[in-house]
Amino acid sequence: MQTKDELITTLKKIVKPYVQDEQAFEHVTESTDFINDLKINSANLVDIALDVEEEFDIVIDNEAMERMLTVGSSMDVITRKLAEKA
Amino acid sequence: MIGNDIVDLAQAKRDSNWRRRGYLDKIFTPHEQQLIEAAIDPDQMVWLLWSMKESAYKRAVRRTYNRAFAPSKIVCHLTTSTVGAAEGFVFYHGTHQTKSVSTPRHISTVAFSANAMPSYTQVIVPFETTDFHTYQIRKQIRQHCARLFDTPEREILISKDSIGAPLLTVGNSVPASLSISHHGLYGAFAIESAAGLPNAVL
Repeated sequence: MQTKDELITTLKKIVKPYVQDEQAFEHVTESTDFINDLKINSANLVDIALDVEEEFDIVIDNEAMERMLTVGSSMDVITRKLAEKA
Repeated sequence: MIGNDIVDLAQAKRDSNWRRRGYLDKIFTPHEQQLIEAAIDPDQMVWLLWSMKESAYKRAVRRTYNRAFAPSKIVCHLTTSTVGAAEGFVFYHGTHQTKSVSTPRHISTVAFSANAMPSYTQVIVPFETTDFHTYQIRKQIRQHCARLFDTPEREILISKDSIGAPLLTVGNSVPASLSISHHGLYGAFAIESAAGLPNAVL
């Protein structure tokens, strides 16, 4: 199981290619919003969900994807899915 | 109340690989996936349905304040679809009527009330430079509204409401519902006169 710091690092690596506001990306916190802050295109939120599935070998169902709008809520979703798998 | 969305098809092609495994399942219902599969131009159909969903989602968020991102729960029904234009209904926190226009370069959709005739104007703004898109589109909105409401441009204010949706104020009143979208080299705004709303100036 990854620590919180490792998790945020992995998530940042996943999100990076879709970020359109590089400055906001340098100051990512758990409350950073993918669309409002990082200006990620909403069609790419789906790519983030698929990348998360591949990276962590978990299934992001639609109920989980609904909540993946911020860094913090995505970390929460990943942590829960990993716990379910364990 | 309205919602709008524009897709720059070249930008979409660069940014999104919808043929990626699992991608369509996360966005589209089985019926919508059939429409994509059967389409002569599947790319066009993917982004048509996507812009229908986005415009209805924006309209719904303005009423529900719920931003949950659940594209496959936003259900599209196409009533007419020809080269260059499409109409339909979208079901998501109620029913929305949609009208879409497309060119080989972009597709744009406006979602509006399901039980009314469309009473909006949509303007597509091709950007002149690669930067300052927000500024360019707001300048055009102010010019458009100055004509529409016969008011000096300085009286027209475009701000954001509590959920980040654009709010158009002319003097002390909110005379119209405004929706703004930009993607790639194109912007679009749609304005629907607020006649009938309590704070209407008309």
